[in-house]
Amino acid sequence: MSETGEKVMEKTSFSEAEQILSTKNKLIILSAKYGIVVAFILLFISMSFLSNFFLTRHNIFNVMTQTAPILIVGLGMTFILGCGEIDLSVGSAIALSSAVIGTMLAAGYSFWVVCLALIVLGLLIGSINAFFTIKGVPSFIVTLGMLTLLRGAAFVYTDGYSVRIQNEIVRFIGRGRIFGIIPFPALVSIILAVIAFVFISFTRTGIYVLAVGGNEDGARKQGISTHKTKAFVFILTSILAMLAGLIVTGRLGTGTPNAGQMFELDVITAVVLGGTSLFGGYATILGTAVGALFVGFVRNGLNLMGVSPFWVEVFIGAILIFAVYFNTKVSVRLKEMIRLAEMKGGA
Amino acid sequence: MSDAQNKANNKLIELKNISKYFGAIRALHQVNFSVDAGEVIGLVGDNAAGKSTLMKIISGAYQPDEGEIYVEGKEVVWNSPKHANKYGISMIYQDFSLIPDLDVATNIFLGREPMFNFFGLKFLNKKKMKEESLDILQDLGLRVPPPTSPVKELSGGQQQAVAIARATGFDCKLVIMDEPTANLSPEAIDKLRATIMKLKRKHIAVIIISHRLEDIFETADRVVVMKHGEIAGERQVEETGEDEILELIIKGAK
Repeated sequence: MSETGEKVMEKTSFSEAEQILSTKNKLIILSAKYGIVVAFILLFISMSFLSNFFLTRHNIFNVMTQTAPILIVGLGMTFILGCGEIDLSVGSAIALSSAVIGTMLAAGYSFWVVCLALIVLGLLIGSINAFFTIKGVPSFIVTLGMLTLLRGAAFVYTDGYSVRIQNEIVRFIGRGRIFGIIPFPALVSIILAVIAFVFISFTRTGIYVLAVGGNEDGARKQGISTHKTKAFVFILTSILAMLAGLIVTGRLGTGTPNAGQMFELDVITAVVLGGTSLFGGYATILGTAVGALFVGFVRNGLNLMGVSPFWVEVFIGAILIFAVYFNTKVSVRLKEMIRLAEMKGGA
Repeated sequence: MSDAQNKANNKLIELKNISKYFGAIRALHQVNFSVDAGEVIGLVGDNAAGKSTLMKIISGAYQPDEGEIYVEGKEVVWNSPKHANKYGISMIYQDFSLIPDLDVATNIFLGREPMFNFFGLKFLNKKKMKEESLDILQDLGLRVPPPTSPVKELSGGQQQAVAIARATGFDCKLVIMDEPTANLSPEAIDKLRATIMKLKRKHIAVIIISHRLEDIFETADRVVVMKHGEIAGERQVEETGEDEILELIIKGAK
């Protein structure tokens, strides 16, 4: 079957092949490609019938606020996975961020000094991750080590205590509403998602990230600095984790070394659910945004329906496995089948 | 020096007494090799004869331990493929070195993207990339895949077309092709031969590394045979036959 397909492809130019696809089949291909978006819409519609409370402004903004830190760090993780690496240290980076915010504010430093400290900390963590990755240690191992190291550092720094946050700006970042309506964290996450989308699609560094993830050797031969590109994605993600730490701390109202437990796994779930490749080369910011919201709304919807939170986790794990199976196998095969069928029909 | 320059003037690229060592192993020994503008050269030899090492030195991936390289009579020292590229020399690797998920236009322009300014920020000029990559492909008489499709969706021959367009589309003077006919259908091989002839007409020199002598006899002007890191012999294609070349490959220079 694939052999005859090859021959047909040789004879038909690709642009013709694209044109002869019927609208109906184009729709099937599109919905396969954006399966998570379709699933998200279906979830949204069915939940709004199943629960009266689901489709209220309060509920939706609430979920978006809860999802904001995952989405913000997810944007960085999208770049990292797209670049063919992984960062497991983001949850612990949030813990350290939260610990530093709490302790420094309590010691009387101003908000802006704390911000500066967070940026420096983000630079440092990202640089350490990048340095060892560039030196040849797999990023899985480097960032796994950092996961433990940073969490430990957060506990050392605070002696294990949590600190109540009095600072008005920090509290606003976590809980504030613009015009009294739009939650500040949600707004920040949306703005950053738009910037990330433009960045990955329309800037040099954006496509270099994907080039390095897709074929590191090939990218190097074209004169792309793989080292700089990797340093960029790790530092970007660590700085975003610092920001997420700020939001989480503001929302909780405490600076605590316990913040961000298992956070890295939520982030990776959202990004992979969105369709970004775990092996690099392909990344989608839209997918990450939908993936993050999808997980948020599944949790929320099941909660509203009174499903036990233990079962919720079972569902989310199952969804992740199924979604990746769909993306890697079903969707690709479907696309091929339709293309071949169309070419035979049209040629 | 001036004597050497005069002699090199009609040469596009000339390598003199090039040696290369990998630890205790001598990969190349006192190799002299030159290419004229628009010339098609077939480079043959057994495995480990030094073909790839020599080509990697020309394309900037390796630096020679001894010897000099002249481009159009001027001595050059380069330290990366990107650098050799600036002198109009590029190499197409056997695996094409393309980025599978990026589209045709992005692959062709990778590393030299046209940009536009928007309020002081620089963005990729995707429209220009798309249009110009179509021009480059058409100019080479290559079948045109839509520039927006990811290269992983293209056939082997089409991927090679993208690699050739990328290597030769920007002020290219010499392109090296490593085993270009490996993994191609007979149809695609015919297409490739036509493309090589087109490059020759555009005065672009081509070096073909190949195990298949028939490819070389179809397209090349000159055959260079390597053995044990040295040039075992070279012949004009018109004045030799497959038997003589085979003998050179196996026995080396008499």
